[in-house]
Amino acid sequence: MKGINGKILKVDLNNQQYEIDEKEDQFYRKYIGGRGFALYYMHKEMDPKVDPLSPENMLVFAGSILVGAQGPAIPRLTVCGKSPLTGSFGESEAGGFWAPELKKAGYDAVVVTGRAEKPVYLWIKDGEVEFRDAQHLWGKVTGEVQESIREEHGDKQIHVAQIGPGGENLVRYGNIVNKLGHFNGRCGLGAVMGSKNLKAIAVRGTENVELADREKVLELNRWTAKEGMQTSQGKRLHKSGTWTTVRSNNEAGALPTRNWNKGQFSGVDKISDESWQESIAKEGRGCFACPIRCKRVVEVDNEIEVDPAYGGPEYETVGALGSTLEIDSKEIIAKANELCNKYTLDTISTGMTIAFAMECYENGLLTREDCDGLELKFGNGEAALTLIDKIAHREGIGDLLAEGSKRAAEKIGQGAEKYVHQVKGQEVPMHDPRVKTGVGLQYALASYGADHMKAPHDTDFVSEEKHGFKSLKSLGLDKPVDPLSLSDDKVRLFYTLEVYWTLIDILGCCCFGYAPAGPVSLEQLLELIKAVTGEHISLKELMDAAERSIDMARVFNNKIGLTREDDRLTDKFFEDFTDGPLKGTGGIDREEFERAVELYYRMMGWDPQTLEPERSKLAKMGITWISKYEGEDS
Amino acid sequence: MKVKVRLFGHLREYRPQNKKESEIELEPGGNIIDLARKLGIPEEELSFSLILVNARQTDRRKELKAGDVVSFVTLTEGG
Repeated sequence: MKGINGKILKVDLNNQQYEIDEKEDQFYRKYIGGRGFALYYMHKEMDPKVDPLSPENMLVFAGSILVGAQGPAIPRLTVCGKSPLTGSFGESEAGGFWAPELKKAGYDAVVVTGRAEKPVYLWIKDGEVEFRDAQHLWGKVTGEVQESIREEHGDKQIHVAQIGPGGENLVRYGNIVNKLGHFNGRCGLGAVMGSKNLKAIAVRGTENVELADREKVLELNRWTAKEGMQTSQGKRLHKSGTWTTVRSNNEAGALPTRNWNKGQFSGVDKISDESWQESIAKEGRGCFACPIRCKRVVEVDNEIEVDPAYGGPEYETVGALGSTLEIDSKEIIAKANELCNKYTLDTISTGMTIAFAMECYENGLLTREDCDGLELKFGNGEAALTLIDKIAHREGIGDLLAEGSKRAAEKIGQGAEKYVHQVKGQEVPMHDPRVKTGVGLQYALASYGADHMKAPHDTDFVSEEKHGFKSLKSLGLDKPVDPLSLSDDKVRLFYTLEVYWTLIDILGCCCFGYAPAGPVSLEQLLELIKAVTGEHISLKELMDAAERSIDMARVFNNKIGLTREDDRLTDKFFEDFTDGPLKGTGGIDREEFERAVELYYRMMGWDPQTLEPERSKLAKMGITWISKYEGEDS
Repeated sequence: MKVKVRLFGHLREYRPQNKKESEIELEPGGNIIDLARKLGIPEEELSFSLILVNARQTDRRKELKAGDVVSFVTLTEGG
């Protein structure tokens, strides 16, 4: 097969040794990339019950069979390990440049175990691997570290995946960044790096990966740059990224505001797309070989001072550090984003944890003394900025909040858990399942805690004329479904879309490049896979690989001991809206929701009580080997 | 009959005046397609947009009522 190196780098930090695991084509066709690669090693070589912050946890940095090819929107780096935030399988994807560079450096993935005695970083250059001292980098923010490593090697083209103080200090939602603006944001995998004393992995490769039909790959990229960028999606993603969602959700009465107590924000005009565009926005940036360039960049040069090197807040961040906290100052939101990026803190969990603390404060569960003298009221931007510093360095109240909102609530007691909105301990993102129930299924069922990127959202499948419906019809979509429904048809739609977006993830593709959210069609994606690999890999084979990875994550969580109780949607979404156009309506029917969840389990071939896949399902997927049944298929 | 129209995001350029909300006169029995035509929004664009009538997603052929608030906004997910 072309497009791959056939080599996985396995690193043991305990004794600072490494080995190269050479894999056959069959491995790549079966697991494709991303979580597929990671779960293969996590099932084979790790005890799922280990403490996520112990040396025995595994951290996998994975590309895919496509990553490294100069096709449109295939830059993704997937990082997996056991999550210190959720205690479950953890996964997070980032765009940027690191994963393509790793492929050029000769490896398809890096599997890290153990813990270094002193801080180190890994240096991978054209196949060569070195463990380098990182004591001088420990405690430094990401911009300084990237510059320092590049200077050390005299090469500005080096790509660095790294943690800042948030990861070093084991903040449970510490994340991993590459090129300062691309984040493996969720699940606290940066804290796993911190626990291993692994400050960074720097990569440099000078050999392009060999492709079966390079000209065809480039032709698809040229199509995206010309025709694709003339589509409605291409144009808007380039111009606004995801900022337009602020207004869209507010119009729907479903913009998370004041820790989800409101669905509309009085300050929305100040934080909407047009307001950013007209003030502090700079020209956007992009990822490896992608013509869409949807990433935001902002600059503030007054006393607040925001450095454009760290990019800019996207929708989730504007929601979590803006409307959720009732902060309507773009400059403060931009600064909060910059601080999170320097320290490597997930902006969603950071914002939601601060929102939780503010609601505790407003209701007397936390006093000013508890909060180190901060007046932690909603809308207090200065206090939010101070808290981000304290969280990253685990100072004062920051030490409690660094644990995440669920653990913090358990310590505060007094009923504080009613102000926490999470699944499996991971704070919910900025989309309200009360206006699109499939998002509720995503939040409840994602193996790695609440996530909004597990499947395309319901709103694009409500009629045959919607682009989402049309563009994915060949997956077997035959019926539009109401966004509020929890019918059999909704569960079937969700199942299909989930498997499809998992495929996009394991291929290392960005969902903003491909149907339904991006301009490149499903048919073009199949052409791309053929052009990169030289193999005819059918859509069925690919969808099976995606579903296989979902089964593998389920079984991993089962081995840890997670149960159906861990797939519970946060209580807030079973309550009606209390403001805006949807006031007095919207609460999801709990029984209907539970019925839909059960139907999903059965659709997946999982026992609805134990969540164990039927043996027949494992055999069908060729993964009996991961289960208690001792199969031969590996 | 008059309906209220709100256009945001990439559809902002179709605002009849440069105002967040405008009132538009529509023939009784008119629907979202008629309204979009009146505003000059290409029908193809409706496939890429989130269209809300009184904050709820509605079939584009459903008859509008006087006083309805129709929002045309960008459909995005993620970020």
